[in-house]
Amino acid sequence: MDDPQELKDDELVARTKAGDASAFDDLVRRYSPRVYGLVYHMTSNHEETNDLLQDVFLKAFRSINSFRGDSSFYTWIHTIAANMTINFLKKRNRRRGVSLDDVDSHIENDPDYIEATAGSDPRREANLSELQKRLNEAMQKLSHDHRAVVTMFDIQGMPHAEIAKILGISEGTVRSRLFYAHRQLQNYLEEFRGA
Amino acid sequence: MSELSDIQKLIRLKRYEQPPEGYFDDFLLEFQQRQRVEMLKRPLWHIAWERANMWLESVRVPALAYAAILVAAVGITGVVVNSQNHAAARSALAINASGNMPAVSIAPSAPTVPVATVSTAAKFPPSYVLEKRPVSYDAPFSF
Repeated sequence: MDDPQELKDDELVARTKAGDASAFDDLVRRYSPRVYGLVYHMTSNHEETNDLLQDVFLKAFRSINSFRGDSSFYTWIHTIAANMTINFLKKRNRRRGVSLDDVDSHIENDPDYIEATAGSDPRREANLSELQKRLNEAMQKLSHDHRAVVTMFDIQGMPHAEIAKILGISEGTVRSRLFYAHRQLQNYLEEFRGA
Repeated sequence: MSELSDIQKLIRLKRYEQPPEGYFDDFLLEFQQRQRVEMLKRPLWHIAWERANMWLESVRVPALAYAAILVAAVGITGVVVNSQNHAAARSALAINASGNMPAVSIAPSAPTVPVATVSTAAKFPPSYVLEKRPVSYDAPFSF
């Protein structure tokens, strides 16, 4: 029996198209963590992320036959997720409160976190909670388009070319949006900078 | 270290925000349930409509092309219908002016005999005008 971990995306897609729903389950297992991250960092709301993520994969399953392999499945599923999330945020009339995920405790070993909180209140839990709150508030102040590029580039580490494909824009536009977004974030996060 | 990289370092810390342990296993179970329910509930016409839309998206026809195709289809239909109506009207006018079917003379001395050509008869089948009040409805004579 084939180990699903060994099967490439193309093979899983082909099996899904042939009617093997469990093949698509493997794709969900493989990509749900990354796509969750994309949606979550754009919405800062765990419940909304869960609902959106379900819709993203349901849409992908429904339209799997239209996926012709011109791009990778990775790009395709991220494109669906980004578009659905941006459309959801645009249509949402009233902004719901944030519903943040917990922060993994390994952050306390991260040099960037140590640098950001050095010299401030020694109560690390307060620092962590405050930092998380401020980071999310700052992200929510960005426009949907700017938040998308910051999420993909700064948080998820995607290259400019991949972001451009996912959002259907040029690499130059990705760079200019990132530049503008970083300038905005500088103002919002002044007190945490250059500690 | 540049200012921008400080900001990027801070934003990157957001990657430590994670859903609770076991979340993605539960997510898959919920997805499977929704997937099965949806597959059972969708009517056939909905599936066909969705497939048609997906095919149109896949051939990447510009949105304006749809409107152009629709307008062209309506226009062509209108032209065809109009031309048929005009042809029918011209034939009807010709018959009304003569009062009878067109007459054809067989020989110079022979009287003209109205002859209904096959094509004319086929185009204009005989029509009957009914009296407003059927005879049987008339009151019987009384003496």
